[in-house]
Amino acid sequence: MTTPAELPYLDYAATTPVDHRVMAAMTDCLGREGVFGNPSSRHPWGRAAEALVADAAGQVGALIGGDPAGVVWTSGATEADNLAILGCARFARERGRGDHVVSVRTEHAAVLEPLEQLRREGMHVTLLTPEADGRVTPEAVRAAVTEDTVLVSVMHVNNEIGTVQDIAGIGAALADHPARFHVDAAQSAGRLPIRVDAWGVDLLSLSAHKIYGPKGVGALWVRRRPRVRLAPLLHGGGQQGGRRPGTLAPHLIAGMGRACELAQDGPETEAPGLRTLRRSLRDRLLALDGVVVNGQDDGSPHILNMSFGCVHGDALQAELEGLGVSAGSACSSSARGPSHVLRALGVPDALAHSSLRFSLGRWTTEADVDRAADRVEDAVRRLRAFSPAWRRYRSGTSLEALYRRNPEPAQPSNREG
Amino acid sequence: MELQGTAREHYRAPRNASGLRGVGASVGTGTAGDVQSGIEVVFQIISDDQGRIRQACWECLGPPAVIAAASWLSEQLTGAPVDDARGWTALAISETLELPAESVSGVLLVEDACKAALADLERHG
Repeated sequence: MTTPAELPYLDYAATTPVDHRVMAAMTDCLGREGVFGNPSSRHPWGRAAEALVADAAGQVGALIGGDPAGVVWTSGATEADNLAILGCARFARERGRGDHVVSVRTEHAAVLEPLEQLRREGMHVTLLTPEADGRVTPEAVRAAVTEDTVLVSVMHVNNEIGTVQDIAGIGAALADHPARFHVDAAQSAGRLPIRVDAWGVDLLSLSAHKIYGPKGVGALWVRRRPRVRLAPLLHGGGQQGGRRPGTLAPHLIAGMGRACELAQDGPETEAPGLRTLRRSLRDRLLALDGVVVNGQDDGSPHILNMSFGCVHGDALQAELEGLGVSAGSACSSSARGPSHVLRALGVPDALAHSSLRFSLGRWTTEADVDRAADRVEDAVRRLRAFSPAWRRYRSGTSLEALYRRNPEPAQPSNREG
Repeated sequence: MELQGTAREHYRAPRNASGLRGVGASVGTGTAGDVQSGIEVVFQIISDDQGRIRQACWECLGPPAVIAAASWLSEQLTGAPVDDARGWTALAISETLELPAESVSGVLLVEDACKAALADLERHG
């Protein structure tokens, strides 16, 4: 399948292209003249690579406001989430500190699936149901922790709907509790400020490919003071203090470091522009009527999720073929059933099915947004022209009434033609 | 779910879409499915005084295959004897249009709505 460059790509939350400056940093690590050494080696090649990895850790630390020594390189945010959740909970349970974990129903599968694994291992997991806009309050989190709670995991920005959690508030609510606080920040990095120290975060997951870095590398930041310890997932040569053994990949790490450096000013330099584009896309599509914004009305600057009432999701997708957007989320196509995130928000399945996620990024232009909005408008209008649901909506039935129950069968109006 | 040939044409340019009329002596209207479960089809048949279908039209909230099926069936029925309309089943429509197997349950709603329209026509007849 071809992906013509003239079609707008609005799926930056799924992945981003690599920034040329990042590519340059990576290329410098590959060849014979470059920093290709094994960072564990004690000769000049190894020491050069070790220094490069230390620089990259500094760039990660600067992005998140934490000690660079806490950076553990992983294969991506999925591994970082697994290491945080399984590693932290297993370590605590082995020492008899408790067997309870608290998280939220709208988390990414990379959090929910390891939690399910903990359940299989006999631990107890509480998944909070968020408010209608996707947020959980610090009070709700605090109320869910017990004396057996060893870990709380809440994502910063939701990947499907862009809802921003009050991480500082939740961190403060947990300040007097010994449970560790893990945050998946894969989507927020570079879009919103992150301050692990100020917020009382103990573990934070990052991914390079969401911030214009390469796929295949991420990091788990682990607090050093007071020290947070983990049971490792992998066992091997003792690299990274045994927390994640395996030869480090200097080119990926250099790429992630550079990507973090470039992302550091993102909240001030890029986010306002993204927010403006997001608003204009939102306003244009809301003008279609019968459209709902899922999540916060003004959530993360780069993610917009909307449900288009009175059209079928499969037909909407067929109409938008070639446009770089996600239906619901990249991870919840119709084949896999409705999105667990939209379900947790209480969006009816049929309406969730006709939802689209638009996610904007570094190279999104006003023209991209306009072209995408044109396509969606045309698609929705065409499908609604013969939709019985749209006819009822136009004669006064609310979307809520339409999708939650069918009070009366469709009756055509009493006029000719 | 890619549509082929005739089905694709009907999805791209549906015939006899909407334009439903109110209740009348020669008008039969039938509905199947509902919004909540994701697919709803409304079918309407208007007969002439010779026992033939003067006009068949429809509305559909559904995936491409179901939209194509409703459009195609409405075209088949226009001008046909009312009695012939009873013969069309979802299976026959799906086979003729080479619709993907997973869409049969949706196409069944087209059949149901069409049959309900015929029954309604009889009541009003």
